Amino acid sequence: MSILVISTYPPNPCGIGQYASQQVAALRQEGRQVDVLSTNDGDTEFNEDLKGGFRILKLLKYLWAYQSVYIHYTPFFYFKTDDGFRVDRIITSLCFLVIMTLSPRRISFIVHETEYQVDKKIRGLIRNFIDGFSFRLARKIILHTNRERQAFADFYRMDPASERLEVWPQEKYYRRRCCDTREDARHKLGIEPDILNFLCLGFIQPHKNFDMAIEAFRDVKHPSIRLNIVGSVRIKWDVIHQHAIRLHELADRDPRCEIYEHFIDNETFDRWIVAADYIILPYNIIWSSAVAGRARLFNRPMLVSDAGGLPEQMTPGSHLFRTREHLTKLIHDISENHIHDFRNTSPQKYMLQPDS
Amino acid sequence: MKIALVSPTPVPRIYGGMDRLLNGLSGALRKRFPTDLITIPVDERSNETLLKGYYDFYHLDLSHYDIVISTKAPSYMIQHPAHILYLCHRLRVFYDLYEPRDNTHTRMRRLIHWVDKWAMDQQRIPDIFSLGNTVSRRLLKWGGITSIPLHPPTTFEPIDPRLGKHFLAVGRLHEWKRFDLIIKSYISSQAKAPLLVVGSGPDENRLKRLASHDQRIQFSGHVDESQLKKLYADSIAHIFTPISEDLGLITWESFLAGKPVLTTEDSGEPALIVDHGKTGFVTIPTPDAIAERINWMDVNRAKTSRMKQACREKVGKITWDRVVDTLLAAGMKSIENHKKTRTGSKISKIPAIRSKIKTPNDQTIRLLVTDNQMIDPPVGGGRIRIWELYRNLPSDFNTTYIGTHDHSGPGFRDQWMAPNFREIVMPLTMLHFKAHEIWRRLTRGTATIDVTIPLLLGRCSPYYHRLIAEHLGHADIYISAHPWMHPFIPADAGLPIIYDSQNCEAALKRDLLGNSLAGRYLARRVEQTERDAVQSSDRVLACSPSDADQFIFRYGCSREKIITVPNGVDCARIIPPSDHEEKVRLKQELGLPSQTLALFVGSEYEPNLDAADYLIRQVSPAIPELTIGIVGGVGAAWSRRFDGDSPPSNVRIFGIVDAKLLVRIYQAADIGLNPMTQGSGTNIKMLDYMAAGLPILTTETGSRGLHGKDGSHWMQVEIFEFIASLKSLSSHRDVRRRLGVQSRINAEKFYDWKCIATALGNELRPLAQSKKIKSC
Repeated sequence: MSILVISTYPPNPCGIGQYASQQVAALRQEGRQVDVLSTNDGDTEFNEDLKGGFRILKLLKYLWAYQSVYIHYTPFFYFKTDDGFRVDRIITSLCFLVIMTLSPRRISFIVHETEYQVDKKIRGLIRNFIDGFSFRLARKIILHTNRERQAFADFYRMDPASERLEVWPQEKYYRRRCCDTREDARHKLGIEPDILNFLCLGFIQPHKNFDMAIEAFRDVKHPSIRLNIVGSVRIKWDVIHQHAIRLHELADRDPRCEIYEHFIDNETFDRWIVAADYIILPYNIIWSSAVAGRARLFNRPMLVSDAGGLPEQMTPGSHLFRTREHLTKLIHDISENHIHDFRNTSPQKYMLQPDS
Repeated sequence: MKIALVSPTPVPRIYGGMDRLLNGLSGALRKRFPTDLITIPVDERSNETLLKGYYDFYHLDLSHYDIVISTKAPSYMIQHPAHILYLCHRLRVFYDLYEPRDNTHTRMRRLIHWVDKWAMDQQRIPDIFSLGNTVSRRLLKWGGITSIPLHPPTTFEPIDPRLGKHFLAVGRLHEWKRFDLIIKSYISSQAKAPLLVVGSGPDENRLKRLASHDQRIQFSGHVDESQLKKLYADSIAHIFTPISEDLGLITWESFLAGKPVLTTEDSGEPALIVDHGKTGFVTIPTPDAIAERINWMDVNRAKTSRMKQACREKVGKITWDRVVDTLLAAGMKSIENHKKTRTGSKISKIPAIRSKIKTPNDQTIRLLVTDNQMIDPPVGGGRIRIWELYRNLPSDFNTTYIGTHDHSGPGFRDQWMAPNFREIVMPLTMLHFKAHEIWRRLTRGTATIDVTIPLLLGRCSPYYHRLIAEHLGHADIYISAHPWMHPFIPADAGLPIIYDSQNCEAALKRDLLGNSLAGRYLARRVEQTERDAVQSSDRVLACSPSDADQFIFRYGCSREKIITVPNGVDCARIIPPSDHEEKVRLKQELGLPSQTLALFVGSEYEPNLDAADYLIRQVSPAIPELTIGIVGGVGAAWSRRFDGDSPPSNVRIFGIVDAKLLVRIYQAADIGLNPMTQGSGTNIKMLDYMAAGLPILTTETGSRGLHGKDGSHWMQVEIFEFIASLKSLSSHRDVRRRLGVQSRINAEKFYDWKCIATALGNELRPLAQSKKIKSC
């Protein structure tokens, strides 16, 4: 079967691009003929800028040659999302509809994020109507959690039980990129072997709420615990820079807390997860989390906020929290009760799962 | 980067050529990276101690080194991810010098063969180099192991040569070195100059007795190096007649001293090193033949002395830098491959290894070669030509090949097929295949994927642009093999552009594409593409003079721009069997009777089909005592065309066979047949016959365009004389033997890819240098 995947793609840093690259690797491993069209000048067979206006129509050049097409969907890739482009967004929606009409039941959407319009004016309603119609012409709409499926179905007035709406967990195509034991991983990352290690991992963005994690952590006075925040600023907006500066300021006040602000490769990403005892995901807004998906791959416990599909991504031993106080209490309890447990667990060596 | 060079040392400890080699190599490696020479004593005198040697090397922990280079049996047992074998020799008593003693010895031989083969498996050691062609041939013959010959230089530092006063024979006085043949030859010669025999050894007393009646022969025993330099400087020539010598560093020493070498056809590496008439003489191993050359050199001392320039030029190319560059490049490749395996990452599209592979030095000429096909496995005319031509270029060349998979399925590939040949192959997109399918239908199935490449690649597989752009900046010369990729080279590439034609495509495709509208359009596009390639290139490589004429006639190309680079044969791959018994054994293995086997090889091509039909219907009934073998697509094509006809019992149709089986069939055959009566270009099968040392019976059409003479290199007859001539040839074994030997020599001299590539290298070098000067 010939497949076209449309997405952002490495080497440019983007979580969806990473997801897409792993999906492509898995499909190719299954023997599928897969070509990729990247929207961000990725290292792929085709590159097109599809964002805004009529640009999405460029896909017509490609779609006819493939039996199946996956569009990794987040509005940011295909729509001009600024307020000044409302008409442009309607045009893009119409172009999507043209494409879907000309390629019925061939295109699947992997919906990573979507914006449920709160714009009740006529333009917003028209756009929602057109988008809903386009999605109905899709072969499949793939989401990562049941919560997302429900929300999507509610908004576009589709039947949530429809076979067309599928749930694929984030880790469906993930492969382990690190085979270290926890001790090895800690040694390589310079983390003491006998401390309780909490981790916040991912791009630094205000909605990820890492500052709340630091503050909650600071309130627990146990000396043998650490919080490492590992990530980079992907989108160079002022507000995000300010947020990063604030994180550094907060972390500087507690010697047990460290921020490693740089983009890391896949192997090191997994190594941080292996080295952690708990991964904290204190997000305010999220659809589903790739970090949680990778944590599931290594069966690492998490402390997750009640946002988006995160509760569905929890592993055994994970905890859900709703407030900062609740998180503080969880960290405190874990520190008190489990500080010695992990020392007795036998180190687990993970098998590599090569892409091909 | 830390390197370990490992080797066994003999018990009892004797210092010899191996130590000189190890010292030279470790010294050269240390100039680049910290290198340790690690040796383990191995006692080869008993089976138990010998096997202990294998065990010791297997368990030697060298994990803290980055690259490990093993040398001699059993050091290749070591385990390391970046293991390079630079093989001096295996245990020769179990291979070429094997003489059965008892059952234990036979079992031991079997065990050693098995262990060695396991140890040298490509999974364990991807890159095997050998001291020279003789060692490589032995590896191929016993074990089917392929390796790359890499001559080491000698550490000998000579003094200036003087006009010769004496003949010299240097070496260990051992029966394998065959000093007795030198002495017998010298006794029967009329030479006035004395013969100095230098060295000592177990055969010394016998040799002295043999020479006792001839006052001209003097034994000087073992001499130190300063004395040896003087003896070399005052010599006329060096006589060296060992049996199947691995390397014979003495040959290089003699060349360094500016003295030619007289050797024999069966001497092994020396016979391959010496250029007959230029750097010495190669004769048959009889006292009379050797004596004749001694007499000539004795009388013509001034002429002999004039060979010194050629001798020094020959040895000047052999340097430690070259050896070290080659070994380290292979080591780097192994490290990179190991990393990929360890991290589980697939070969990346933007090859991460590029920056890590060591460019040998600034003098390296980097070629970027493109075509629309993959090279690995090198089967089929086009692929073989690219692979053999560019990998056999002189050591200062390095080739990066970029091609495409011309069928859907396989993914991106980036690999080093040889230390100087990197193959990058990208898949075409499904969009490309679908668009091609439309063209194929429009041309009623006649358009092949290469023809539509100039039309579709840029639009449908644009990733190729990125690849080219990425590699073009690192190249000194760009070569477009076939014209298909030529349109994708930017006009301002700023480097010499060469068009390596494999045919005159316009003529070929015009007939193939038929008369449909789309077919005619594509044929015009092919002609236009080829015209652009010919006219805009700095040089054009043509396979034959007739192709060259076509380019001049069609495109107005100037003759000076065209370099004729014929097709060749890999003489190291097809090696004639050592004796008749081996032929008989091979015939048995192939299920053939022991009678004479005459072979015809051909693809499914009309002129081949006519020739096969002639052999099956007319020749085979006329000579029932002869087995006629038909190999290749032509056999199946004959069966299809004459459905229902069964060939006579003395005809064996093999069909399409793999490369290994083909070599075995060549080795089993006694005669090569080529009864072609039509066709154009040269017949590649003739080159294979020659390499296989087969006496060839051919028509004039069959031998067209080839270097060689009727009666010397093949028997050329009219088609009506074919049967009578074949009868005669099959009944005269001595004639077959003589023709076969000459045939092989012809192949080695004119059609070995190495010779062809060396000549091409000489043409390319000035172009690359002009580019380098411009960029400075």
